[in-house]
Amino acid sequence: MAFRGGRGGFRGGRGGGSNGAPMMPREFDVKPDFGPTEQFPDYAIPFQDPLTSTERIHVARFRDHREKVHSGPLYTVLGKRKGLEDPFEDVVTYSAKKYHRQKRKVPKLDSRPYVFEFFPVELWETMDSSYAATGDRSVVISGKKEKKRLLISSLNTDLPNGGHHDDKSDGSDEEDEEKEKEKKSVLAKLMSHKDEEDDGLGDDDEDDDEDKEDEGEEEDDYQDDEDGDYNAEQYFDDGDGEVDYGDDDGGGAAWYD
Amino acid sequence: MQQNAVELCTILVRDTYGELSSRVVAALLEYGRSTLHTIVRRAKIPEKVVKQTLVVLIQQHLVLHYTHEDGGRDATHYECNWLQIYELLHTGRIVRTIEERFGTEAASVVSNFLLLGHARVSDFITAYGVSTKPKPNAVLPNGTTISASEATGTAPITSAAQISKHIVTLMQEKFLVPVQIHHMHPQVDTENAIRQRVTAEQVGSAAAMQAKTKKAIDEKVAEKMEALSNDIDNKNFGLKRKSDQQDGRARKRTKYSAAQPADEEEWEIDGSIVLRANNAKFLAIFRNEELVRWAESRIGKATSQVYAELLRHLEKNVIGHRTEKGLVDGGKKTVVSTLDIGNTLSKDIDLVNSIASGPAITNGHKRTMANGHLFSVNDEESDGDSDDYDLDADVDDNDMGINGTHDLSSTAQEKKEQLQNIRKHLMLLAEDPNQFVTKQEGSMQYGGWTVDTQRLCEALRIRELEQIVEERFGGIATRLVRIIKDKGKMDEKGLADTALLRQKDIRAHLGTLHERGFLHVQEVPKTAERLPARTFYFFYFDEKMSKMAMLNDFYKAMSRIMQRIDHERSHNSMLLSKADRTDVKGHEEELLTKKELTDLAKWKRSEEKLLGQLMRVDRQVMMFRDW
Repeated sequence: MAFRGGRGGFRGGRGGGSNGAPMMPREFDVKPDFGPTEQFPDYAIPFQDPLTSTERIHVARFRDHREKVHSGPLYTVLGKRKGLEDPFEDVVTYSAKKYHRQKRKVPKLDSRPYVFEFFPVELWETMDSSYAATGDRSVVISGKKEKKRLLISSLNTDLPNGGHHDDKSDGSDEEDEEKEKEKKSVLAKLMSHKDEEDDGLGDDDEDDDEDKEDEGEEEDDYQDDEDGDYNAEQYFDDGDGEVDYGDDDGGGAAWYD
Repeated sequence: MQQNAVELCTILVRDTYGELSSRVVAALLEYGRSTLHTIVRRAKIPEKVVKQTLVVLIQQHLVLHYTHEDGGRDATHYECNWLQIYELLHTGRIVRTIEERFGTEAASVVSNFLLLGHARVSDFITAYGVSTKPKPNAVLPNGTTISASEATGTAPITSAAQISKHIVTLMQEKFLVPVQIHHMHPQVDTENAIRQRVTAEQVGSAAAMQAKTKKAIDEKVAEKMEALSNDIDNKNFGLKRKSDQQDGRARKRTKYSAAQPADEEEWEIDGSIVLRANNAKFLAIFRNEELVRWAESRIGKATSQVYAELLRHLEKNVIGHRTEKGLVDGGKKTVVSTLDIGNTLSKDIDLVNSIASGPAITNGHKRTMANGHLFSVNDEESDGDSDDYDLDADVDDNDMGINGTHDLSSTAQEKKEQLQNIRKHLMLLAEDPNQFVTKQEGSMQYGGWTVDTQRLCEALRIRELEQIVEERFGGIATRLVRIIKDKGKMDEKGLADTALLRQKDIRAHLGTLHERGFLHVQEVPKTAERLPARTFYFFYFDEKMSKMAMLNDFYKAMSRIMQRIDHERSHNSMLLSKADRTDVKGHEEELLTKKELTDLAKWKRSEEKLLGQLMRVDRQVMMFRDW
């Protein structure tokens, strides 16, 4: 502002006001307020229209998809840095080890077949250890190597809100719960063909497992390569040699249903 | 690429594929194309882990790569495909769309392809746990198959034949497309490689630099690039014609051709090809859904249903190439006849009572205005217009038919009536100021129709933009934007005159609009000194720039929503990790306290709301960026 004022003065001085007078600089009739503004000015909070049933279905499918990726072999969670753990919350407990979803620090890659030509050569070794310089290609060439399989998961097709076309966003909790339950039951079914005994165990000590500690095995918690208790892991672990889910039909049906 | 988009993509990847992937993606997005070692240095992650993460990202098509083979020293560069990252948001909608159209089995196939990134068909089929060979005992001596799954159409997929059938259908409609090696490379690299080859072929000397040769090379490169994408255009690319000797085929064929009457052949997939979900096609579908919604708000439900059917017919030919200009499809060229629509339109749609006719029809027949969506049609709709119809006589006949001679309503008559009604709805769409459809003069009986999607989307964008301006800056600002858009460049005085407002009143509005990037100013000095007082300030509207400004806002809003979700999640982290335990999952009611259950439900509700909002912003992003 001061700068423009100065310019005006300069022009007036020089030109003698031959034609400067009628054209004032435009900024002068907008009166800016240079005072401090309120820290939290009044603000009309916009409200969201309730989601339509279509939108809710889309959201449900999105979450479902994300959930599947998270439980798959590609999702990674970086642990906290050494020394930054919360001494109270982050202590490895028995229940944490036994029941919590295992956190993966690196993606697990050897669980599925790849289309190698789509990847740069420098990554082949990472994808399949037999491509390493020291690796043994003979197993692959002779076809003795265990054939890997893609991981197929079933689709959760429940509709939120029971599929009814009312757009109430309230009262959805029960439905959500139901939906969740349905989803879980699918997952449970998927895993049931391997680890019935684990489920039984889980039911037994459900009450007091929260705070139990297992001092012996704390260090092992994040080693995802060992055979953990999380059932799905054992599925992903295939390809290491042992065929572990029966014949073709049985395995497939269980995974698909 | 905008900073906010970078932020959004990083958050999206973290949300779906975890922290490690997001760090690699962040390094790639912030610094652009890099080699492995550069990524290692920038992401501060050990090389082994970066490699593993890159495999994940390439598998999901989130990262493209290219290896230059020069001088014997191969250098692989990685580049982030951020539009594909953005597509992560659409997964839910994609699965749902397929579910609605082809049922849950097909949806499950698509969902798995989305999860897997890309997969070889043979691997995919075996992974369902079935062998591709039909069981010998499945065919009875008399040649009929007894596959249980085929008999009951809704049974879960149990046979390889069924999966491959789904895959074939999805492929023919281009929901799944084959992946080729050049899809894994950045387009620039593919083009450069072709250019190099072409140049080497054409001339071996320095003459390559001559303008004429250069042009020829350019043409050839463009041609080859097109050829690459044309492969996919071919309807049956990656499919092979099924040999017809197998028993029990005839039955299946009838079933199949009922859905696709035009295609009599039966196709089978080539097991060695690699497939992925075609995101561009889904963008086209989302666009059409939006157009239908618009038509519904303009005209009415029944008309919009007719419109949806018309667009569905167009979609069949749409592959959807994503270019800088947006989606390219053959919508403008493809003509759909009324007959086609009539063949597939659901009979439940009340075509007659949804159009309220004017008082012009006086010959004793009154159509009741039965349902809610009334739309008063001009009197000419039935009379005046009929002289452009190529079937004048038909119209009259038909009117007579409705009028009372229902006793001779054979199926043919009914069909004719239906077509007439469909045409009326289509005429409504054509007469709308937005011109949802364009009538094609031609020999087609009952008329043919085309849709100019590009123009419609333009109109849609303008409408949305004006709504946004209205909401954010008020009515006067909208008026100004509209005037400027209409008149081109205008100075303040001219604007004030046109808007019938005082200059003083509009100045503040212009200021804010300029500040937020909706309007732009050009300064034209009257004298050589460029004094502000002797300068014209012309306001103008640059669609591209305002689009960018808005997209930037959208991306920012979206990443804030995602961050909010993260924040809410961290508030409930204890509860969520408890609910996530393997023993608690599925037994929430028994194992969680009442308070925890309510909290869990509350968290789910709020996450749903936030995600819902995310999808709503996504709609606008698609509108301004993709369509």
